[in-house]
Amino acid sequence: MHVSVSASQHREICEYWYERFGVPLEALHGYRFVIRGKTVWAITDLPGLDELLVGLKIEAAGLPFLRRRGHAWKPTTAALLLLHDAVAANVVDLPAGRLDAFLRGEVLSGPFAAERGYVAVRSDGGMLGCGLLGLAGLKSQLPRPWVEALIGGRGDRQEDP
Amino acid sequence: MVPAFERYRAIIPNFPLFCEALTLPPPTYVRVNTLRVGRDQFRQAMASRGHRVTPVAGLPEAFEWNGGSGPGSTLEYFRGWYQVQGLSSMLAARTLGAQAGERLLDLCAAPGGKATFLAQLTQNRALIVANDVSHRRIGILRSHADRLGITSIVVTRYQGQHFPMRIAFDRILVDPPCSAEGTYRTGARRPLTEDLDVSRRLHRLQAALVGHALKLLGPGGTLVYSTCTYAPEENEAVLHPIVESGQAELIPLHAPFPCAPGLETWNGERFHPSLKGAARLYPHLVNSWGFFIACLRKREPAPGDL
Repeated sequence: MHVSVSASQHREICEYWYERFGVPLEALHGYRFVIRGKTVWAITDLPGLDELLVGLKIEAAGLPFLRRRGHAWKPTTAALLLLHDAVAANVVDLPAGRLDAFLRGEVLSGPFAAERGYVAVRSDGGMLGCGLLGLAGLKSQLPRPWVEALIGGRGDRQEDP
Repeated sequence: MVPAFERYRAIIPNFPLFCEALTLPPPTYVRVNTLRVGRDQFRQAMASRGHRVTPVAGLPEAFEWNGGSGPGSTLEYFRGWYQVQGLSSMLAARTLGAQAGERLLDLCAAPGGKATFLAQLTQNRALIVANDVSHRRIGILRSHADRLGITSIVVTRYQGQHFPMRIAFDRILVDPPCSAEGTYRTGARRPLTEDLDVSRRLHRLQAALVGHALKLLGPGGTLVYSTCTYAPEENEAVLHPIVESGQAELIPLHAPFPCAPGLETWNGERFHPSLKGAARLYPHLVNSWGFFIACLRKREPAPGDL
């Protein structure tokens, strides 16, 4: 069941985005955060939302925003793409010519101007999504099906007629 | 000639041209995601990468994809700048007339092209329930919605005809399972209607879905019914009892490109005359998938009904 987060959890989520990625509070205005299992979802907070959350058995509510990894948060690529303009800290710009290697899952050696942990990865000036910066280097955390579509040249599975 | 389509010779205008269109590969269309990028920026970015996209008259978000690599394998697609979607499918979503602040239901939503377009048209400011019974297809819908930055969709997995009655909606889109004749172009699978029992079975499901959708709709609410089939059993014959009984009235549809009107008769059966206000989209008239689209308004209760 998707449950709206408490006020303190809401604050914790906003603080995470500000402290880790420099996302100002205003960029998160208008979203309700709901939680199910280890995933926090962001959904537009509109009148009548509670009625839907309570009245229906829900598979997904808005956009997956954060996932709990042990005691840490991991941002989703969908969230980083949503907040792209607002993300100002712990951003790694892929060096020219390294995109393919990153997409293939190779560990890219640095140096990178970011703290260790989950980072926002940009390529060609635009947001790409989530990466993990560790001692060995930078590794993709992008959703596998999306990457397979991109490098496999087959589109993202089924489309509408 | 596809044998299953021979029975449409009398109802499809310029039938030889229709048959000829079926032998041609369909063009690819994409819908720019204006939640992420403007139309001009999209065009320029795609051109700079060697992808020519041509605007489609009448549908501001639609572009024809001309050449270059497949539309699903670009960085811009990854970033949610556009969605691959047929013109007819875009038109079905547009016809619903969704407004910010409303509560919308897409009863058979996967793979999500129409539901995500509704979110785009309402600037992520309408509550949209995207329902589908198929777990696998819901996964595809969610993947598209996440990539496109959709924050106003709630996904559910009910059998459409048993969707809970607890909540009333302002507008509902019903695009039920159908025989998919409209997707028959070069290289596509053979039409299911080669066995006419398929259409009869689908008719029962479609009637149950649209009947239940009407119950979920608030008084005066709008319902759009669409299929990607030519079969009258799955189109006019599904809607006729609803219009005839006065549960809803048909709102004439004004499509931005050439289409044929809904049928008034088929195989000796007469349909309500207002059904000619529905739209039949054929590939020789609009170079996309074949479709049927009808817009209904649920009747407001009369004072005597209370």
